[in-house]
Amino acid sequence: MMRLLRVWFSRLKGSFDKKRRDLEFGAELQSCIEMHVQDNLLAGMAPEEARRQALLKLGGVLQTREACRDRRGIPLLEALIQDLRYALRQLSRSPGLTAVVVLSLALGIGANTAIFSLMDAVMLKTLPVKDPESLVLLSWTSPKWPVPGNIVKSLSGNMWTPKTGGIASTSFSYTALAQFQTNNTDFSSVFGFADPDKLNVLISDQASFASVELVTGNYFSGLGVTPVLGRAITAADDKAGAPPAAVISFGYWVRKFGRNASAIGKTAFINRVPFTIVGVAPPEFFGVEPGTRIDIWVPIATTHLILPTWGDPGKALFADSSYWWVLVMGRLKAGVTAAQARASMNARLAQTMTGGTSPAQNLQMLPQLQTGSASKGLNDLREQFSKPLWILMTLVALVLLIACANVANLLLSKSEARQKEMAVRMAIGAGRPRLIRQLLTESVMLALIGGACGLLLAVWGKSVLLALMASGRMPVLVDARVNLTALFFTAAVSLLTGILFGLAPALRATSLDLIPALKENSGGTRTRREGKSKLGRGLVVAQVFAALVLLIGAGLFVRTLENLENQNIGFNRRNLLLFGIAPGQGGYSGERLTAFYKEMLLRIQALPGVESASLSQHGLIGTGETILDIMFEGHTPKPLAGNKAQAWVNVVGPRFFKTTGTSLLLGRGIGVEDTASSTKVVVINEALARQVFGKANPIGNRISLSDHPSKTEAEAYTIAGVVQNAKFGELRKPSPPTIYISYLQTPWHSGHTYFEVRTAADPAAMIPAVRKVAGNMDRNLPLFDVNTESEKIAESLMQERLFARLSSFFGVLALLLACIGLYGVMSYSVARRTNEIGIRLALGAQRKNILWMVMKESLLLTAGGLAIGLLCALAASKLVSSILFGLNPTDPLTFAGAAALLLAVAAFAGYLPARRASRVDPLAAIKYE
Amino acid sequence: MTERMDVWQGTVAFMALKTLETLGPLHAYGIARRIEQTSGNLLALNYGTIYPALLKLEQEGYVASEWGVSENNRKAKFYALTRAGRKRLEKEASDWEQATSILARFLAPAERA
Repeated sequence: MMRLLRVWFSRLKGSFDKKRRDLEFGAELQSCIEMHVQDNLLAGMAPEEARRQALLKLGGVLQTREACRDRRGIPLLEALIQDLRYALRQLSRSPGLTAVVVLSLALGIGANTAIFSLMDAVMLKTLPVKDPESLVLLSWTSPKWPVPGNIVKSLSGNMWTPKTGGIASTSFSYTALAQFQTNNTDFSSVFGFADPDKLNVLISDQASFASVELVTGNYFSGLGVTPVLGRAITAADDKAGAPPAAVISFGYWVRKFGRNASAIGKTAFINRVPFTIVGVAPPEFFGVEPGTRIDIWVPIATTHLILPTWGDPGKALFADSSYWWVLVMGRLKAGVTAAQARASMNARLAQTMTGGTSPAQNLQMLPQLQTGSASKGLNDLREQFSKPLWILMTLVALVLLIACANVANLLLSKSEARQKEMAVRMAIGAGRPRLIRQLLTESVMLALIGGACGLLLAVWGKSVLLALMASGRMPVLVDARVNLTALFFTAAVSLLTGILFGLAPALRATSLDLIPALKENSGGTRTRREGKSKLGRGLVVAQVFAALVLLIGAGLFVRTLENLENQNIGFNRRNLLLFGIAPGQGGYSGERLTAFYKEMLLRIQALPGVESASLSQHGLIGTGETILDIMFEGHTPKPLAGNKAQAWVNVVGPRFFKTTGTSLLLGRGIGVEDTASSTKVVVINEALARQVFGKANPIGNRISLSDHPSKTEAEAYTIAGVVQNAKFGELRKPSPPTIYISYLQTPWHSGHTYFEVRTAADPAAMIPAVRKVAGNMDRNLPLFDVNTESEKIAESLMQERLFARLSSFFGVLALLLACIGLYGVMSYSVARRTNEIGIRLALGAQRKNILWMVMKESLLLTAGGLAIGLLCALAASKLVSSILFGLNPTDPLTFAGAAALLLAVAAFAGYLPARRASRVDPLAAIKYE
Repeated sequence: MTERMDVWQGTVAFMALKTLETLGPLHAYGIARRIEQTSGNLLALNYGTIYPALLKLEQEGYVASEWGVSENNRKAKFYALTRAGRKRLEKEASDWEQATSILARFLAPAERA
């Protein structure tokens, strides 16, 4: 075996420095022949005879050389090397064409691989747990929100509007989870978990934020995840009074403990509650939601210890069936379908909601249980990204299509140009398979070079994409290295492109009739040329069509971004710094918390360079929202039905409007005079004022903030001012009806808050000073979401910007490629018709007629592509309507603009060959063939 | 003139190895000549066939080659047995001996009969 390997290795070596070895062998042979001749002479032969006998004895110099040559190397490999060398020489002979082809393919393949890797990570990969296919995630839908009858009083977690309307969520009450778990015959295990926001974690005197997941005792066993170190959280940990235990993620272990096994047994203070670290999760396990990364898992039974504010005041969190906050997953028993499980779980759910008594009168209004496959984790990320990813995938697929069409076109023209070469090679005895192999080698090599460049581009492009797609508030941490699937995908696409567009021209080029091909100077026969140009023209029409679709997409996305950026947001984003702090997690509450906020505000305001500062429960954009039912005394909001009587609530500090730059329209803003002991006031925005009071002055009216009218004087608020509409939570939504309440006058103000700081100069420069203030107040309280508001808004528009940029880039690229294609086809057509044009000119045709004749051809091709493209874009634009903003998916301006741009550039690309045609010298042209 | 036998396929390599063992480093022409002489001129050897055989032996690592100067002051490529070649020769020699003795047994009674 080793010998054989050795032989092949040495033959492999022999395949390379062939020339040298050939020479060396020649010398050896020569010296041996000379020795033989010498011996023959000594034996008394005549010189002539001595040489003749020696050669005779040898059996032929050529045969001997040949026998050795074949044995020295690997003939098949040598042919391949020869082909590759020849291909390289051919490609380097036309560097422009090679560059265009490689670049087209690299961009097409690179973009496809990048997007594919992302899609693979987000949508195709399954959870790294045992038998993920049998996992089911429970959710529910209800036709009405809020769910009638106080069944769901508070909900924390995911909530969305399904296609059928109403509301859907994955959150359940803890009592429902318990009900699912008892005597379950459909699932082998049912486990629950909840994801609070980041929590304050103190490990060896270092405070930071970590994402903590609250899990039931059977979470790890149910998922089938075994810690790499220590043990998992078990049912024994998940009991009231059990010593708090925590499992940390592999990444967290690396970051905080440097992979030191002594981490087991260490104490981590989560919101000041001491937890003992008992295990480290395996490195590939990030939690059940792809895209988010859990740092620490703790038993759900410790929720009330670390999050005492959770749940409705006065109700036990675990016994409250109207507080919905736990996500539930189950593992189906073998042979049980999801539908069977759903039916039996739905009955259990109904029981917890109606308290086991007779069914409520509006049973169909009750939340209905749904099941979804949980094999790929929670749907969140997929739902959020799948559409944009599909759109991107379509965009890049179109680019690849154009690139391939271009490559095909260029290879076609090239093969036409090489017909004579092929004819010569066939005439001197090259076999057709050998020539096809040669041509295929060339195109596959082109494709592979393009693919390799594309892969490099993809590696770079994907990290850029990943960074861009992660909006600031949600770092997307999918495990998306360029993986084998993506590599395979790239390789397949590039090889297929090479073979497809190499083979057709190769077959055609070698099937030619030798005699006419050799005779004709410009190669090929007439009929074959017609075929080629038909294919070429078809490709050009396809390119124009794809380019137009891309350009229209680009136009729509760019205008969406513009609309989003230029809309009136109701506050001044410039020179505004925001940061969050959570003293509630550091043990502050009640008076102490209020005092902390007051002191912090004073200290920040005292900083040089700060114009004003305030605080609010929610930041301005992208930090969540609170929605409450409102009632006006004497002034019932006219459309009480639905959620019209709801208002978005922000709890703010003094000088909030001055700090954010929201202008006051009537009355006054929230000020320092609004304290716990003064009259309770609210400021409402224009939208709410108009909705409730029409044109009447709302100042002095009273408002209460719950389902029911205020019972006591103390719970009612007096409207003190009206401010302009400002965006709240999301940029895409119109400003909701909003009320602002002083943080000193509401029980809702919480343990975490955002500070707004208006600065005189660059707000980012203020960050160190602000951090120092916070550190001096309490060094165990880290800041979160520290950023300037303009940066935050930019971050929240990342996806839109990504779309606008990528689609513009691809659009321009497509335009360029399509025009290169058009130019190539027209140039070729003009060159082919030089003779004809010469005759026309000689017979008296005007030069401008010739110009028009050629121009007409390219314009017709473009018009054909445009017509198909417009129709397709009209049909396809509806698919993207959900990600557009402020314009119709069939926006006529965008459509017309894209078509005009394409037409103009195409006309230019067509004009160049047309001008060349019109300048043909008739005499020279007639002699041309 | 006695009838000369053609060389059996594959035996040239063995003969070349044996020659190198007996005579030490030698060039291709010398090896071919020696094989012919050893056979008592009974073998019809095309000197050309020695070259591919030597090339194969070299690729297999049984011989090593080096340029040197021949006895009559001519530059020539010399082949020498390697350690692996020596082992190979031993094995092949014993194989041949066994094969010929087996054949001999078949031939002996036939002659008697």
